[in-house]
Amino acid sequence: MDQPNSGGLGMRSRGVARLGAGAALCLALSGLAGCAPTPDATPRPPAPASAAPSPRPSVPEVPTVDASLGNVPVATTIAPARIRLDRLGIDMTVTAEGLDSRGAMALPPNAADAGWYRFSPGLLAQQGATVIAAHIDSSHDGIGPFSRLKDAAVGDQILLDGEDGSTAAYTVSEIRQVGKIDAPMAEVFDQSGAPRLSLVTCGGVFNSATGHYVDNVIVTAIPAPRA
Amino acid sequence: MKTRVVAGTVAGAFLLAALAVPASASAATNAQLSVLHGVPGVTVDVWVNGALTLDDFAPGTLAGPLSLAPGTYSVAITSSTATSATDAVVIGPVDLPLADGGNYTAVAHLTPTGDPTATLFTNDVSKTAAGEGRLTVRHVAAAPAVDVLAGGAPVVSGLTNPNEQILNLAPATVSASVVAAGTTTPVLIGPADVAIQEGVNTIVYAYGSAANSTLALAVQTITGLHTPPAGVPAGETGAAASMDALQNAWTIGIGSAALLLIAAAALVIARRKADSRI
Repeated sequence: MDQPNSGGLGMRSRGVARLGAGAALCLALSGLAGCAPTPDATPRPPAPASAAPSPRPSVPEVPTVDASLGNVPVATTIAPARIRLDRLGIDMTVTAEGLDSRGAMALPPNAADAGWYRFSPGLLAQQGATVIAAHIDSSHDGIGPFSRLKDAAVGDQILLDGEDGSTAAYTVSEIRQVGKIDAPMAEVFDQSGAPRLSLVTCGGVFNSATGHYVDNVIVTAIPAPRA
Repeated sequence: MKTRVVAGTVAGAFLLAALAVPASASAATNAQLSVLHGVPGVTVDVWVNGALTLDDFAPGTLAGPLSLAPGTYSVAITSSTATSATDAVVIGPVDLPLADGGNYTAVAHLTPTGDPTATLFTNDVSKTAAGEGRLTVRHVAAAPAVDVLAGGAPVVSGLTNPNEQILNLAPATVSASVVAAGTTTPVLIGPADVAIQEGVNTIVYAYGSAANSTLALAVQTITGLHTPPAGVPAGETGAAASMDALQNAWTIGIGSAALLLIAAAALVIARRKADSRI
């Protein structure tokens, strides 16, 4: 099972190749001190080693970290437990969900409940999109509160309660309805960039042949200024 | 080797410049190079193309990543008191061929028999599947072949220095122990909790020397490998769409009725006007 490491290191000197590379690199950065092409072909003598300790070239700032196991950063995540959007009468329990058997986001069976993608950031995260989704309708309990998500308006207030009792406030910044084929999943589930909330449900026409809606309704909200 | 020294100085100057100014104008994608020090008990200096790049680099420390233009770099590891890349050399110089856009970790470590060496590993930065993380285990210790046990069962078997095994796993915290291949005791390293995170390649190095009782683990993480779910199928019955359609029908119905009323009223008025003319 071992994978032989193909990057094994040759110990031989490759001075000629390096010289060529060095000269080419110099052309790219000829304005920089110490990197101007030498007009004459004669190799410059090394800097005189006059006084000991001899001066060294300045050391660039290279970040170094203690690589011991206890030092590995593991983000603490506050899982959302409840979501409220009062203007639309949305007040739902939120449970942590992963993936279904087809690699899509799994959801609570009841449309009355919302799911938080447990690999997305939690409350008060420093970056990325916290993703909460719910069925627009379900064979278990009919039409759910997220059916009203399409009526959200820019500026609507959303409150997210964390499992630890904390609350985060968000302001709706965008409402979109997009065909599922074009639905920007990478953007909805983006783990980088500014902290935000992605709310997702279905919308548009229901295709009774496939048993799926053709669109996704996507609401984006940004953290409200802290009171 | 005078030519070499000059070449090294020139290229080294570029390296310093590259560190200060990302080469954004270049069409090539820079390679990412991290450096791990896995030789216990020796603080070293690391010289890249003849330029001092890491000063007083301590065992168990990870440096970088450095963003470097693709190419072959010469790395020498010397005593921390060395005055040049060719003075008091501990390892090298070795050539590190860095490809366009590649992600690498150069590891200073011991051979199975305990001699200092260096190995360039290529890090797997391909996207992880949705909902998965990656664990890379690298054996860079002066020790025979090992197994890695997670929760008592081997997840890595017969790993030898300087090789790696890569596992794609559901995110979890794994209690890992390193043992001699084919055994379960004695435990050489651990048990230690290793966090497998979604979209992250967690690279664990077993380094040090079994004979000198300096075996230890070092960890490097590479983030940003996440893949989103395939979709969000969030409707089952179509009831919400039907309700919308019904509401639309009502709206259309009311609208139509209103139009009819207006038309009828207009007709009545027209008739009355016509009647009054007679």
